[in-house]
Amino acid sequence: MSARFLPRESLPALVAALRDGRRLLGPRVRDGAITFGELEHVEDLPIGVGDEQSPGRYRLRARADERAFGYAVGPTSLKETLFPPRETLFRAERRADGKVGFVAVVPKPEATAVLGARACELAAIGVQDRVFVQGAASEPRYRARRDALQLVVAVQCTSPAATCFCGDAGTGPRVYGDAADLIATEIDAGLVLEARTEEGAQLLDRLPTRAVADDERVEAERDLDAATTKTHTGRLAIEGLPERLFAALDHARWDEVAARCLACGNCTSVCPTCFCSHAEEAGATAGALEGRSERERVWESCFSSEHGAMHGANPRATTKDRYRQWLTHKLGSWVAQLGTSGCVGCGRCTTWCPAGIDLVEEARALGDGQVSAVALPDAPPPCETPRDEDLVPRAAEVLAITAETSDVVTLHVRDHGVAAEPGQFLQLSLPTIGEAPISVSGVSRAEGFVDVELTIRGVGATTRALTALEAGMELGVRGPYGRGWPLAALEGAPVVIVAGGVGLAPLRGAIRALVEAPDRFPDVRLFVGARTPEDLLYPREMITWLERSHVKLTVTVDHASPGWRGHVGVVTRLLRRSAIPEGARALVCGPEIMMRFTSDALVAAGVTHDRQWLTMERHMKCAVGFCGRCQMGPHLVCRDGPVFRRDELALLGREGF
Amino acid sequence: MTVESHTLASFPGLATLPADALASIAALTFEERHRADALLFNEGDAPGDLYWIVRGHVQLTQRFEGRGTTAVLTLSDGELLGWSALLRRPRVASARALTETVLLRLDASALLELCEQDPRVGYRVMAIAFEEVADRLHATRLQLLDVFGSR
Repeated sequence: MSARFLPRESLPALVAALRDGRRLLGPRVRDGAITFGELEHVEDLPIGVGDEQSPGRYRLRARADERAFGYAVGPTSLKETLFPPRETLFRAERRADGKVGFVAVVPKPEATAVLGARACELAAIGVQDRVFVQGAASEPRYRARRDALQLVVAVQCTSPAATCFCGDAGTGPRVYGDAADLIATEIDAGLVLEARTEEGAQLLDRLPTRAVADDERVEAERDLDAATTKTHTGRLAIEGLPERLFAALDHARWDEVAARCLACGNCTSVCPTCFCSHAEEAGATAGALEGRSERERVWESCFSSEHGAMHGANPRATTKDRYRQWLTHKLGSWVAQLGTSGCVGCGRCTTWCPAGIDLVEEARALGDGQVSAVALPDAPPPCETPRDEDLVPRAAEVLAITAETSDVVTLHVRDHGVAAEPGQFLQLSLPTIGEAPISVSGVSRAEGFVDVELTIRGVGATTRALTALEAGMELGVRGPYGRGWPLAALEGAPVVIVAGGVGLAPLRGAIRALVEAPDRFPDVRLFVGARTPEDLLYPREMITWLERSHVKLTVTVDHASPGWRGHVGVVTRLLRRSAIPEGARALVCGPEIMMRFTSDALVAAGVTHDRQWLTMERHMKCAVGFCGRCQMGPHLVCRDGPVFRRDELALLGREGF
Repeated sequence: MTVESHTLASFPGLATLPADALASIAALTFEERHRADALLFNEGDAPGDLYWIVRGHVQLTQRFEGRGTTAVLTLSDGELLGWSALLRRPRVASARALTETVLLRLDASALLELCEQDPRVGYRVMAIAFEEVADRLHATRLQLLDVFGSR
């Protein structure tokens, strides 16, 4: 399509055409910065205002001309529009009789047009699309806002800041493809416009444009070329950066940068791609049992001590761990998780860092080394038919409760969802209290419903409330989620199963399948460790397993009680003394420390890493890859796990992941 | 009656020893059978002999005044029992057969003398004992860490 020219005095016509039945978002000066806001008139644009940016510094400055887009980027992007900092996911209610109800909250956003989006911002939307609408699940709230974004006029950047490196990142300053409907390049006299979509062409037709004069074309190209040169800083080689960063996990530079980092989370707030979030029960009005609440999703930062914490402990305990997580994710494992870098080169994190930490400088210094021994997996391709994920629980009834130990119960729940495979998990919730991921420890399918067993240890507010449920009450259920045990890969081979503590629960479904099918699984050896005899799960069921001639079971406890005549000692010692058959495959579940040593003991017994499967625990909050809380290096545990083959877990046992 | 060399060779750590070295260990090794519940040695006993468990379960217990006797470890097939014998120290725990148990009993004084005379045997025996003690130390740490306990 050929370019057209819109003289500066006709800008009001562009604003009016974009506002025709739509809300118009564009750059405005607010609180000393240029931010996205609603535009009503051309005068709302930052006419004659530019910006100066450097690490830790942002200032507006007066321009000598009347340009409306003569700045680089402000602290906000379109992320706030599509993925608001705080939003309600659903409303929840619990009645005095213990019944629960959930009502989805999905916005109906008004039709929206955007004027002045930069190439980097459009690239960032593409990155967030990979998270929210192109994974296995699609987020309806994000999608609704995305669909409401009807017309986008991008203005190619000719005023890059000193912190900009979109050229290095490969996202700008020119806008490529159909990321916007209309592409503008601003020169002193007006805008050079080029339509990239049918809607853009229609809009262009309605504007009082004329042909582009040669000198206008030359001026636009000259300014764009200059911006291109400036944003190709040559300081950051993106190619191979993920592997180089993961090769540098022990670099002394992490300590140096952590000493400067305030862990304030400014970088993640201003980043147009950071997608991590927290969810909490807001506005709770709770009586003894009944109450109402709204589940709210709130932006969260990997720099916060809360983010990723499990039972009050964060696997990334220090600022160094968190900075390393942020940088290796943004520039490294993002590629493995989502098929694209998380960095679009906008430089906001550097500008808005109060300590002036320069991302490019850090990445350059850290990524200078050798290519990694840490193998980074390939990201799954964008999903063509993602399922609609509304994040809203369904009500399920508690049929019965079995007390297993002093702090562990098994809920027998009638659910009307999809039946879980052994090793998968459900998200269980209670209005006003919260939600917790719980592995399914047994499933029986029936016509029209599924009876699920969920073994829960009461350690936090939510799990304690779940363990206090009574028959006839209801709870919220989402899922099943994640990748379960690879039963097909075990067929015909001797199977070794090692369970520690409540780690037996996620394994029980798999054990039942193995116990019931001696023709497919002729040799099953179970090794179960518990803290004390009283902490052993499912003792009665264990006896029935022992009755099967293809099953051998050995139980050990760390601390014996008087009269205990079984084994005493850690579960790894059982492996050491038992001849593990050739070609055995192993399933392991327990605390991470126990799995690490068990894995080593299995290797010593001849079971190589490619024949071991472990189930990882990380804080799975949303369970569908939207919230970023369950990251473990290149993996989103909720999506890629929780069951992993041992050779996929290069970071197992490494502190800070 | 002492055992044959091939009986000893079935223990992994000893299999690589030359035949004459194995034979000299076999000459001071006796096979014993114990019924279930038999007491093998008692905490505080004077230095005794070293055992290898051929078959069976042996429970190690420790007295804990005010809390009774506590089982601290179970040993089973192929494992070394009573390593304190090699240090000529009194027994640090009591050992009781949980099941009918077959043991190889090595005369500790004679074994230590053999270790001094034949460095091949000395090195091998100490390496086996060191590995056993190291494994137990590591396992004891895991027990102490209470890895299955709730936080």
